[in-house]
Amino acid sequence: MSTQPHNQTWVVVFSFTMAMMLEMLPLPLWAMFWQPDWIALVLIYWALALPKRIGVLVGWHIGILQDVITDSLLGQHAMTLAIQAFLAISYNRQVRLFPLWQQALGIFSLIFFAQVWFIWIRGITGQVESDWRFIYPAFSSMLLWPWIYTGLRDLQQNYHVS
Amino acid sequence: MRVTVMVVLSLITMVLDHRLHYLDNVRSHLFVLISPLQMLVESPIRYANLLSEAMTSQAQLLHENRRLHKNQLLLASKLQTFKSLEKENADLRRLLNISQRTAQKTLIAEVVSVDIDPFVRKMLINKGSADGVYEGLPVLDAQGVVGKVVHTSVFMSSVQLITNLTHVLPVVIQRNGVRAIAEGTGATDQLSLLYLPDTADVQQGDLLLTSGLGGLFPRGYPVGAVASVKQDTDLAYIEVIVNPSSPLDKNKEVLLLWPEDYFKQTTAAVVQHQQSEQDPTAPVATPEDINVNSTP
Repeated sequence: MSTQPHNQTWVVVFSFTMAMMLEMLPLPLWAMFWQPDWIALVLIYWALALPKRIGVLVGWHIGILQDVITDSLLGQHAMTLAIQAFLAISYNRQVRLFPLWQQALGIFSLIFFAQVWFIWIRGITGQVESDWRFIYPAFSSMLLWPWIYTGLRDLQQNYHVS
Repeated sequence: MRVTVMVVLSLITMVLDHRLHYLDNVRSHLFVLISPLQMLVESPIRYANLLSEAMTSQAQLLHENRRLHKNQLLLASKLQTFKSLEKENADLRRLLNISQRTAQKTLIAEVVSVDIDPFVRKMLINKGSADGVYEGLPVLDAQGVVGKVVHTSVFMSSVQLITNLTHVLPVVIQRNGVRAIAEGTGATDQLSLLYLPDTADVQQGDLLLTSGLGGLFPRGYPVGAVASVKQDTDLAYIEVIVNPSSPLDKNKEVLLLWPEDYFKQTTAAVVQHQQSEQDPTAPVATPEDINVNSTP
């Protein structure tokens, strides 16, 4: 990440900080199941918008922090975020031209596969609780994507983040 | 390809973290980095609580004060009998040459987050290694056993609840001293007892206490009550479901419990404890001994 002042790095840092705080937000149990993957959404947005600056490495490091926040195995979220950032960068030209609802479907599949991976990790570490509720975050993330996208785009344009 | 490298690196860190615990230090340092954010997130809730306390009317306060006063009197009277029993117990133990139960150091911790991950039963508390918290420290509340500390950082720790699927807890039935192992089921309010043969004397409503056999939890703290017992002739063991005494998903404050001699002679105490467990002639772990407080 470059630190030149006109690059407005703080906007990116701020959005990730907000995502992490939303991730930590204490919620009632039923709401926890619906909690969207805030950090992944923000990362995917920035990887689409600034593919030269936000990529696999940033995703991986953010993921390690998310692992600490969620007290999961170190590397569990790092791996999914790295892959999500990679996919977002690889397809960013095409995806940016998609209508929002098509993007949202893409988000659904990305979060869905990440959740399948988490279920699998829980199974390996003996914490398995096979439950179809694992799919909820993918739904809520998908529904939130248009708002996240427009919100972060406005933020980006307002502060001329490039 | 950078992404392949990162994926491989993630797999390596995961294995290191899970199998070898090499990364516990890294984790606790990163935890410190995160904790200001965590404080910030929970501060509105904390201030809301403070505000609602400040706004309580005098009448309410008086009412609560009276209620607490009554409660305190009741507890004090109970404590008197307990004191004499404790002394009697100590005397008897001395006569029998059994090591004495020691008083313990405790600390109240606030629960920061009840569920870190909705599928994994863990909670976050606001005490860390700066307060002397270490991994494996027992966590209780006013009603019973809550769990044990699994990760610590300077100011916060994560606690694995007894309902966590990987949590096993040696217990004893208060009524008759039958020993069992209570395993978490992953549900918020259920434990199950492992390896009880169908001849075992377990009834609905039986109270379970910690047996102290694992060496981690002190003996005699309530764990839960038996909710249902199901006999299945196809299975070698009976299915026993237990409801934990502690309201695990509603806790606001928990109690950390240190063994008295932890700070003085940790290793010596642990070794002594293990020896007394391994020695079959030592009467420390017999049912009668555990049952000493219950009425026949």
